[in-house]
Amino acid sequence: MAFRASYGVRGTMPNTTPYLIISDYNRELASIYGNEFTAKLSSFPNANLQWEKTETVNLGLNYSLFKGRISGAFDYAYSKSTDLIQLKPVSLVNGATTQAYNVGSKDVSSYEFSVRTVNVKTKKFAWSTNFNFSYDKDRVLEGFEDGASNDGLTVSDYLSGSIYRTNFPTSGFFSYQFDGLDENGLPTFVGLEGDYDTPDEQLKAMLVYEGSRVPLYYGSFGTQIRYGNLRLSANFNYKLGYKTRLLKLYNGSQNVPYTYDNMSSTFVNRWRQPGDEQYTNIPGLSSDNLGIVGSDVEFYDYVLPSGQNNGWYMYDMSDARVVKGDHIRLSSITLSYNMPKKLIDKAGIKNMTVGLQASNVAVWAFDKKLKGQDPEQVNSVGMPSLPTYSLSLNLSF
Amino acid sequence: MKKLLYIAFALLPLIGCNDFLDEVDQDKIIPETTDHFAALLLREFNYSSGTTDRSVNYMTDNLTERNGTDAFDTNKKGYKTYYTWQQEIEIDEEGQTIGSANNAWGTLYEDIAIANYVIELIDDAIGDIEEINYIKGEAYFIRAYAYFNLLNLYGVPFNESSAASDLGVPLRLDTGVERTYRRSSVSECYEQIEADITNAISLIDESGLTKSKWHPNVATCNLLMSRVKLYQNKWDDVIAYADKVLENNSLTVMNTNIPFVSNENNEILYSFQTVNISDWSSGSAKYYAVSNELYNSFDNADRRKEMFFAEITAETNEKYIWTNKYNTAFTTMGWSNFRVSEAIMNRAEAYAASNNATLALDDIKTLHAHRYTAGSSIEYPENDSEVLSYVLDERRKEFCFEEHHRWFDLRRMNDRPEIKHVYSVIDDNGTLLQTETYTLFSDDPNYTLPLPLVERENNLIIRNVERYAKFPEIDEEVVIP
Repeated sequence: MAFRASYGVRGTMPNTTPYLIISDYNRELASIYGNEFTAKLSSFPNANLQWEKTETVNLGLNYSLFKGRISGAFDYAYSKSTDLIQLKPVSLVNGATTQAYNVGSKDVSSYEFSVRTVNVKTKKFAWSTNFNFSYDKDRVLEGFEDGASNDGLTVSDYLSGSIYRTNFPTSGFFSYQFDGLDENGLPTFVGLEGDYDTPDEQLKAMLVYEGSRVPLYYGSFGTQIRYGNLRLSANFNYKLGYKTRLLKLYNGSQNVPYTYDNMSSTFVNRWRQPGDEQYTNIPGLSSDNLGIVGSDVEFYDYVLPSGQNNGWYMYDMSDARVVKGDHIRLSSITLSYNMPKKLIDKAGIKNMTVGLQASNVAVWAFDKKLKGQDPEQVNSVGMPSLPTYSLSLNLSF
Repeated sequence: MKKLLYIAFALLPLIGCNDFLDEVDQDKIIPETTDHFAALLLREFNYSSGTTDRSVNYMTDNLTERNGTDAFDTNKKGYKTYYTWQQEIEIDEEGQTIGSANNAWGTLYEDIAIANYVIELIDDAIGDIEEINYIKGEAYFIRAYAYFNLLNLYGVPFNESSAASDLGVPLRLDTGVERTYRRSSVSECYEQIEADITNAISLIDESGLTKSKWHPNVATCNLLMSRVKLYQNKWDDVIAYADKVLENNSLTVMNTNIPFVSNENNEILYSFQTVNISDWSSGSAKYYAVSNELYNSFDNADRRKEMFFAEITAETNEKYIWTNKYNTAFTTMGWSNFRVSEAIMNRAEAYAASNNATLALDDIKTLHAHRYTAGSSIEYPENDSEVLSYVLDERRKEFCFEEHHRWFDLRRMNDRPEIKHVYSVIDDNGTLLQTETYTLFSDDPNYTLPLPLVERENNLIIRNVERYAKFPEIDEEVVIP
């Protein structure tokens, strides 16, 4: 048994400078100004910023039972970051609309548990297993007070999960609420129309909280078997408690695919005729651009990102396209054989190992909507990560 | 050995040196030399287009809507809030924010912030003392000019008896950052502007340097001062500062074959706003046109008529509102200029206002001698009481569509004209739905711009000047049965 404890303070330098910065000092405007140089303003100085501070407390317990047959550790860490730099809106009289201040704070609690068991241990045969588990929880203690504003949080921040709002986790994200397909097979959404008093109110009505976009629980487990000179091991890892968006069906706008285009197989289940909307959430093929008109939406600029104001974008960003990312991955299987010494000694070889390894062998995801896709690969074009096999021969003289 | 290795690994995160990992833009520098500061002012003030808010033209009587082909509502409505003097110029009828509207506040305060930093830092810059003085003087000039524009866009129009308590604009004179600011009074603002120009004059004079026309010289500063005095009805001072300008500078005869604004023309003291020169006759600007009243006020013998205006179509004889003044046909330099003719006009107005009609007309005649074709016969008012309004009409012609001249001149008139703007709602098929007529009254509070919405959001203690909600008189064209 061993007990560990530590306390630390770490500082991060702000990346603003206390100096006025200019850029593009050159004669690119020589056609106007002849041989006179010009320079752009890059940033105003900010001399009042302090370092961001993070204090961390670590408590740990190492244990070993039954002569080392069961061993492992518990770890708990709590860290609190203060004086985090945040942009706050200021009067335009300052020559800028925002100014960085040391105002934000957040804390993170993390728990870690690991255990290793030696189940059998003889001269010829040994079998051990290991398991570990981590849980992280973070929380913004002081962030932007405003739910929606042009300077602080925008709807894009909510959708992408980069919100920094009091009492929220830093990795939480939101989606538009899909409200079913209409009789033409086009998607509809909650809260787009209607009267609201503030942008925040409309955002609340339109968005639904999905949860964390990064795993809250994660870890690995594995098993190792040794029989004589032969070793076999398998390692698994798992990530739980998070959600992810499915591959985008529309890249920001609806384009009826060309004959030479590949199409997502998702469209096999699309809406085809009136009545289908009862059974499917996949819109029909349509050349309608589903543009959303400003006059129909009370706080248009707040609830739709600029340039992405159409129903197809909203559909990709809706809860209809969000799945649980929980999965277990068989990350590697290794079989190796250590040549007996007496066979190789004569050749002057000290050690010789032949190994066969397969990595990234399989992944089991729990959400059926993924249809077997790897939840860690649902971005850009969604290429699955392929297993790799390797054969190795290790010699040492 | 093993131990050493461990230590090396333990140290690894510590020597991951910050400078190496940071994405440092090699192009970014901390200004150190006088040349750096001069270059900054040239690009951020002289080059930039934000100093003059061209939307302000839409509020004047110098333009009207176009009514012809593709003058559809969808094309025209981007400037409708200005054109019809709406209470909020950033929000259109459908409640949408117009992103580009009411930007002058932000850009002018950015110019002021840059000037403040230059004033604060230039003394320690590496370079000759003469350069330091000149650049500092230039920064004072820029700050004065920016405050002058802010005050006349967002402050209450000057009124001698109440200027000490009327709302001006916040004065930020150092580099400190406050989250909120209060407005200073109109007279405090003018005092500051005059103090800055005085500083500019003495510093530029002291430097003894002569720079290109991209930099203000002493005459430029004197001209700005005569303008600032004119706006406060200080007639004797206007004349004194105008005289200083005219001592060493004179007018040039306008030649319709060559661009008027050029480095060779001695009438040009200072030229700025050089971005986007040339193609202003296209784009959304073509849905409005120069008002006939203004265009027809130019005599055919007046060379300015041909020099200033470009025709949209021969059919309607309408003229582009982004006149030749923004075009290479008129300028080989910037599209804002400090010209000697303004000294003449400022002085003429001061003479006329202080009952010196003869001298006022003499100045106007000097101007005409450089603008009309030789031998033209021009009728001048016989009655002394008509001279002031004659001078103001002449001022409107000379400076139409330049800086914010017409709007500012309207604001400071004793009896402003009542301005009517007609807006025809034409749908995309070309059907006229209705004709709306808006009126800007003589004593209208909407002569003062509203503060930008973001300023009111971010700065809760600042006071906005109350404006009227503007409703049109409507002529229905389409009767729905």
